Amino acid sequence: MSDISVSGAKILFELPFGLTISETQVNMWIVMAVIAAICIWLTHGMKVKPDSKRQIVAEFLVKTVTNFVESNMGKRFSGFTPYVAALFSLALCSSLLSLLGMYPPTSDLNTTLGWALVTFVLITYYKIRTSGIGKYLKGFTEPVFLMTPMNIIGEMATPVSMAFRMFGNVASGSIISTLVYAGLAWLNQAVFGWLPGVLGDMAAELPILQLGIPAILSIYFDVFSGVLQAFIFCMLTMLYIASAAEVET
Amino acid sequence: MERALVLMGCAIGAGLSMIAGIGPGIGEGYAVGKACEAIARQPEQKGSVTTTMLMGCAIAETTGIYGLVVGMLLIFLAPGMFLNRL
Amino acid sequence: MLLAGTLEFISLNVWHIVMAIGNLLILMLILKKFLFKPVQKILKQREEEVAKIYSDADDALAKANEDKNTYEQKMMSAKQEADNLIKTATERAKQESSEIVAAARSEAERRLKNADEDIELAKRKAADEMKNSISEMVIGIAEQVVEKEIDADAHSALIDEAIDSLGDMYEK
Repeated sequence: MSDISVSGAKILFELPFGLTISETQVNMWIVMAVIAAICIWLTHGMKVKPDSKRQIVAEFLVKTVTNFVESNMGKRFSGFTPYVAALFSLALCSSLLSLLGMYPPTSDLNTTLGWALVTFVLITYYKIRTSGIGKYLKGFTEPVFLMTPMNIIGEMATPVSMAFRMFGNVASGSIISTLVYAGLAWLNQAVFGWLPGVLGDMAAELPILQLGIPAILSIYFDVFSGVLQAFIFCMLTMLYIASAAEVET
Repeated sequence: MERALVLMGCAIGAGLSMIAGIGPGIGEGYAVGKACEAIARQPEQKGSVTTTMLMGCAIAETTGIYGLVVGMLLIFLAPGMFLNRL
Repeated sequence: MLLAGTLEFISLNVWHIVMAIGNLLILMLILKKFLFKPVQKILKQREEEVAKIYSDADDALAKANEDKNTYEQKMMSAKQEADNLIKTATERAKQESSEIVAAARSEAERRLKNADEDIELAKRKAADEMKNSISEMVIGIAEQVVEKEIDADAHSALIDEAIDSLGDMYEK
């Protein structure tokens, strides 16, 4: 019971100037390599008349993402399609990595905060571009001058809430999985330890109770929560950017 | 003695911070109930209602997630920070 | 693998944030280059091909319609021609038949007339012969009755009158 430890990513390499490469980065590179390999495999040897399921899948993916982006952001933002696709696929596959027992990069706050900062920069850029920098800065002092700190906090809350939402969901899932696993190990030992002699020792060592229950939990926390959070992250990114670019009357 | 007090305070604080889970629970339940009513009234709008409901739930969950993050900070970071100060 | 320790569960590290952003942007470029560009290229090609097929089909349809129109026109004119032919043929046949009938009728009338004339001629001839023979017979009888020769020239008027009256009686 005493060896339950919930820790962050392991640091794998140390570079000069105090830079470090942790499990987060390595796992993310693995995910990126897998996605890139899948893309290349899907799109190689494409023909105008599709004769393979690969090509149909590739076209379906592209059309779905394009439709999704255009229906949420409008036609003029169709250039965002690769960004949204990258965000969704990276977030989804990173969260699903925990199914393989690897460290999910999305349970590192740095990752989600970085992505949320990209969204924040885009939001600010589009706000300034649509209404001009003067009007943008003036918007902080409305409705009265005293509200400026509140407005600034409200503006900062967008990326922070997005980052913490994703991080909290994935990290809490991994924490709960760890706790449940440890608890089941203890329960296993307690239940089968009563058996007499060598049999009891052996049964206590075998992870009998740990077989089924963590799987159900991981289906909720990893699959459902991962898909939902990736979807919501993309959706919020698109909606925030689209609403920032709307010309206010 | 001080160590024990700090750890106790952190643990109690973490537990209390999860009270924040009440609000999103009630709110999301209400939202899902309304979504069910909406789907019952207009079954053909099921897709968009579900999407909107999930979005709303995710946003409503933010406060709960804040509570969770505060709890995690209290468990994983705060004890070390406060004990170093002692 | 060099294991240099673990990070705190919640830790902030600017370098890691920058790397996360960089990874996201790199993946965006990868997706753009390896998934979106080829698929969009193919979709565009297909669109062009479909447009071409459609225009080809339109052309073919227009040509078929044109062919159909000319064919129908030809059919119409042929039908008209046939109608004309039949009409003229019928008219000519009618005319010919009426001509033939008329010719036959006139021929028959002519022949009937000839026959009547022949009959009349033969009748008259027979009547004349009978008159002559009767007059000769009457003269013979009268010579025998009066036992003297009647001067045929002197009494011929008288005799002719008698024969005429005989002939009238005979005709009656």
